[in-house]
Amino acid sequence: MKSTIRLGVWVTTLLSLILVSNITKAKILSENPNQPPQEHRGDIFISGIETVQSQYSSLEKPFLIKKRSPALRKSDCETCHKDDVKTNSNTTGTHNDINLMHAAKQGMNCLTCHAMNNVELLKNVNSTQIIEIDHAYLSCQGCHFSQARDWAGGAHGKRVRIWAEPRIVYNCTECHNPHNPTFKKRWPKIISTLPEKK
Amino acid sequence: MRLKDLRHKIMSALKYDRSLASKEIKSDCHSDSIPPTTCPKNPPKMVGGAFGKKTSRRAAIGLAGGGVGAAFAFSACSNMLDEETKDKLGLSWEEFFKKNYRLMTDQEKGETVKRIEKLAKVKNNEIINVSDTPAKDGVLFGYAFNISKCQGYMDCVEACVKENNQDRESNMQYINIFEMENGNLNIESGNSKYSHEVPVEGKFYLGTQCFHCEKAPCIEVCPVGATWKEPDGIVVVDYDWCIGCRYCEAACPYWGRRFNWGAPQIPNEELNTEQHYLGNRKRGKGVMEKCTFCIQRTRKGLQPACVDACPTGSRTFGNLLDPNSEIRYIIENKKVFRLKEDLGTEPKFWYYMD
Amino acid sequence: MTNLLFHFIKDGILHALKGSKLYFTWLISLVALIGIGVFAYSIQISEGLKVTGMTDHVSWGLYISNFTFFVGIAAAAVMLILPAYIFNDADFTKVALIGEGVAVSALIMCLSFVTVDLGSPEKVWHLIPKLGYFNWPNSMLAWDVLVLNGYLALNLLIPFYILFSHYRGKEANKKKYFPFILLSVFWAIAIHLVTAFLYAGLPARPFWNNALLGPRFLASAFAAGPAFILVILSVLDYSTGFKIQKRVISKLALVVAIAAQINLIMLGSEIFKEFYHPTEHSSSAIYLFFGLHGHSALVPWIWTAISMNIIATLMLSIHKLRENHKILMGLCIMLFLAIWIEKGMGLVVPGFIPSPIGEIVEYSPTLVEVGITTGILAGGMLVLTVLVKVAIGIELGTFRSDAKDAN
Repeated sequence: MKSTIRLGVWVTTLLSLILVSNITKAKILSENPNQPPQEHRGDIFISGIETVQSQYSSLEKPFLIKKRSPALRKSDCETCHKDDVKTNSNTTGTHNDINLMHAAKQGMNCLTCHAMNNVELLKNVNSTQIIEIDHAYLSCQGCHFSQARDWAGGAHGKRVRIWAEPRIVYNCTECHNPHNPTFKKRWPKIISTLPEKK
Repeated sequence: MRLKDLRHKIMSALKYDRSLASKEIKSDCHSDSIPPTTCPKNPPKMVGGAFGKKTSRRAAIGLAGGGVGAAFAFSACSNMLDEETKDKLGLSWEEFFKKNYRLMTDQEKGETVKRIEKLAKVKNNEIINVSDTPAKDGVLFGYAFNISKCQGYMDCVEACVKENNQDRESNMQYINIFEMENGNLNIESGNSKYSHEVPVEGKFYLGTQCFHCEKAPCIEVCPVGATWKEPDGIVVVDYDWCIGCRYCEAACPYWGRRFNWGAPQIPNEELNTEQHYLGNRKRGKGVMEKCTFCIQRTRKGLQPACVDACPTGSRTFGNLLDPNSEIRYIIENKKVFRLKEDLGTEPKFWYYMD
Repeated sequence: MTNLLFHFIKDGILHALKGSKLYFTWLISLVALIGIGVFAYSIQISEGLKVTGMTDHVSWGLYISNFTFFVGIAAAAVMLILPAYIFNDADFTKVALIGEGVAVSALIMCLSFVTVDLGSPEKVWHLIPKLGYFNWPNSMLAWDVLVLNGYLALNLLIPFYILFSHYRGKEANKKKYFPFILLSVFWAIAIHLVTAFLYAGLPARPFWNNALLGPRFLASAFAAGPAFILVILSVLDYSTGFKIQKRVISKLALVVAIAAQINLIMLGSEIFKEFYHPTEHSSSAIYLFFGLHGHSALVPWIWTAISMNIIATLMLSIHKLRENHKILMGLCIMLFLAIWIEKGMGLVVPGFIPSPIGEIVEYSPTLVEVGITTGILAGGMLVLTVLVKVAIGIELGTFRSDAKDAN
């Protein structure tokens, strides 16, 4: 009978130990209070990617932006066009492949974003400041200020390849076609497959 | 205690003399039979499991045969077997009796990784690179998913299947994308089997996968400790230790785990050869697997394949301990929620919206 | 002593192989069924578990259902051991050995069911402490492995000691085995509670995650187990010289009746909780009893089980009906089947439907699964037959070391 009691005591102690160990498992972030951040770098995976330093004005830690300009086709308009070119025409002419579907149709035209005299430079809707293509976000943030804030912070947009340092993000125009920025309807890449019965 | 000794005896009988082994490896690297990729960059680290010379391999098998009855079978007829078959048997034997990955020393980890590479070469003519990179200090991985941004394109699912060498026969997928009715956040009313053009007006999309819970119910229940949380927060499975009881699959509140009901089939040309022991290496029949946050990528600094593939930027991955990381920005500045928080599982996977 | 032990085992085997034509037909048909099971298992070994009806959605099926049920049968042996050894009820002393035989065979079935359910059974050595990695005390499955094997050892040890003493023509020394009896009483409760906790400990599955599961497991086990033993006893009474006293039958029948009543009360309270104000967590129960979104594979089964359960319990509660031997046997079989359905497939499968993220994938066992299950059930019956045959031989005195020549 004594041995039974001893067994009982033993089992109870054990069970309470399990319970206590489970309850004391702390929460995620509070478990690691203010550990000094260690920098982890992933430079080998980003060699060859052209970047520019961000000019986004905020208190954010400085970050890099993947250059957009190398991917764009450059054309020397002036070789043919000696005079002013009439654009944004609904009939024919240069850039007639561009069907502007950005915001309300009446609200915007080429010169909302493009610089007056050079199509390869941009401007901001609120100022006359000239912006390079690689800093297109400075143009976008004229209207999309909250998105730009999230983008700079990390809640909008996407990083290039690595989660580690240095932080390189895609420019707005890498994912959004500036002339038609919403994502298009399309078929999913693959169809979800439930393990159907064989 | 006795059993432990016995196993130790068997294991040591199967291993080469360590000084001999390093010499042999050097000579192997110059021979034509070994592709250059399987040659160790760091020879002294690699010991057992190397292609041996005739005498030592036979001696090793003979020793094992003396210790364990089953080994007699091939020890006795070792002369009839060609070198390759013997290697295959020897390596498989050592693989079968290895320890739980967590209990291995760094050296043993290196050895099993090399054995796996060699077995893949001998058995399936695959040239793979298996890593055993450990967790980095000061890293705790976290993930965020923007339910306003996801359009249901499923690029992530496709990338995941390719990256992680999932079984093509059963179409195993780690990620589920749910098409949800606006005005309803109840995942149980979502539809993950949609097949039409996306996005659909009046719907939003929400993805699930393994959430790498800090207090993961799947880890608690495993009877053999084949699944655990790594120091960087990734919940992993030792595929070679799992006995396939599927208790973890019953315990997961998020349906994050998958079982290999048959032997997984991956066409050789589609195999991702950059692998990790705890990640995307080929699984066997009858073991559990799951999302590993692409451990073979993320331990090196790369983003998981799903994050990289997402065309909408709905997916964010990063270090929760780095106050400058995107994931921390999201948690601190957005209104975030997690699935089934009432269960106290503490997933490291947050949802948010613009 | 070793020599005697050797003779004991040899005589035991020889004794088990003696019998009437009917006995042999029984043995051979069991062996044939085991053969079918082995064949089916060989298919499962080579192909993997994809030859079963299980999926990532319903990841446990017929095997684990039967495992759960037979743990209950094993635990129920305590209902014979308790009166026999602890309350010193002379009527029960004789049949307690049969109860222990039932426990042993049920446990062998349980362990077999768990083993065939494993995806990688060749790695089962990973469970051996020290040699492998035994995740105890965290994993309830580790607890279950421990208590099942412990209970098996106890139930082999005690009858072996008693029978071996009788074989040598001696009385078993109660002082020696009584501590083990006491332990086995607690252990019996433990094996079934632990098995219930295996399910009840999963917050992912609200259908199982309730405090009543453990007590309900016990109540249903103490109804189905003694019901099964009652049937065995009356078969023995009918076919061998081992006569069972009426008092034993009526006492056991009372145990069955009370346990069945308690089980029914608990079932009622569960049904009330699920359906008075159905929440999201009631989906599994809705699926089980009424079907969910057009999926209703288990509905006919559960209603059959519930009606059989209610009828059997009500009739067992009526004194006159319970005293009628034929009706009692019918009710016992009915109750046994009802609980087998309800606590087997009726408990395990709905836990998985809908899945934790709301998907509905139904389950039905394949031929391979049915084959393997049949094989294991036949194996259990074979073990039971042999154990009971030997035990009865010794108890009736036809099989003794000193009576060897006469045998």
